[in-house]
Amino acid sequence: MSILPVIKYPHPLLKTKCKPVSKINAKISKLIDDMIETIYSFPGCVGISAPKVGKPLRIIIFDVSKHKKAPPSNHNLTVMVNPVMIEKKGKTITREGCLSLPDFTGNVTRAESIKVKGKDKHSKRIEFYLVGLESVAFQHELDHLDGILFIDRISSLKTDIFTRKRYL
Amino acid sequence: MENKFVLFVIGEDRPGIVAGISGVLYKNNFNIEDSSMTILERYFAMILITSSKVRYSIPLLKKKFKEVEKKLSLYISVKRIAPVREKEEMFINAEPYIITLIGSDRIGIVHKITNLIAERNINITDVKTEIIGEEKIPIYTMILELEIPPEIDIKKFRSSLFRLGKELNVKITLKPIDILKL
Ligand SMILES: [Zn+2]
Repeated sequence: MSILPVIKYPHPLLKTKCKPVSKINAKISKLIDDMIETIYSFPGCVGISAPKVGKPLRIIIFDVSKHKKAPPSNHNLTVMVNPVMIEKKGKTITREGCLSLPDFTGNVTRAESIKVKGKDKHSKRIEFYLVGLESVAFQHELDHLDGILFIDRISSLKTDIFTRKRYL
Repeated sequence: MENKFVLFVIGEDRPGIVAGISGVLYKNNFNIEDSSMTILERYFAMILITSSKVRYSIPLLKKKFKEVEKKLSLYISVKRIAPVREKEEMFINAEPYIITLIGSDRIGIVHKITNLIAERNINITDVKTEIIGEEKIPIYTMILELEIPPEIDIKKFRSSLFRLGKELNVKITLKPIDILKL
């Protein structure tokens, strides 16, 4: 396994709609393992997506279990290939930071609880509910697959964006 | 080597200030690296970080802004930024916190709370104040964002804030800002 370099804004891949993964072959498995190693190489980081490590593919990984506000129902380390959000409910505001935008954090409003589906790293179909921070992590990473950054979701520059609250 | 400048612009608000300032920067090949602006009542204030490949002297730079300064009745000040990054590094391990204060408006609130913060060498990164409530019973609110260095004992800091709140008869709370790192 190896830690992959994370691309930073304004890299064009951050604005690209990523392609679905047609088959989880050895190359994709290796990418997933490297993404897992990369996510844990950043202290406190709870999510990553393939485009952030330079691969325009629909793969996301999240693990909010170590976060002090992690919902008890969280799923620990979760790999999702071709993830889809099929239901959403409620609203929650979270101060988000992104590895690809290290100079900013922002208050982003997202759905509080969601139902999602996709495939795990063994191509098995998975479907479950996510709430709280885990729901937010999923939505942030899913956005990356569609070329959307958290700053695109901010409604007011004046109150929602904060500069230099870096965490790297 | 790059030359960095910080530019302060203050004046009565009117259309064309941003365009006027950015026009001068553009014509002289300056990059705008960062900017922030705000309006309080009728007053406009802007702070800009700019850089240029050309090493302008401060008087020459000031001269370039003379025309727009006069035309829009602005006050413009330019300072060179020394390439020191020590201060930034000082706060690299600091954790973001938020203080909220709610109470009746009283002279000295802002000074007392910011003084308590400064005495502990804590950096304030953002301040917002607002008067809410009805006109007869105004309620003063203040939100401060801080970067608290690791050597600060949060428990002690919180109890100092609590004591100050009692003294001023306002409610002060201190909370960490949880950033979801993604
Ligand atoms: Zn991100």
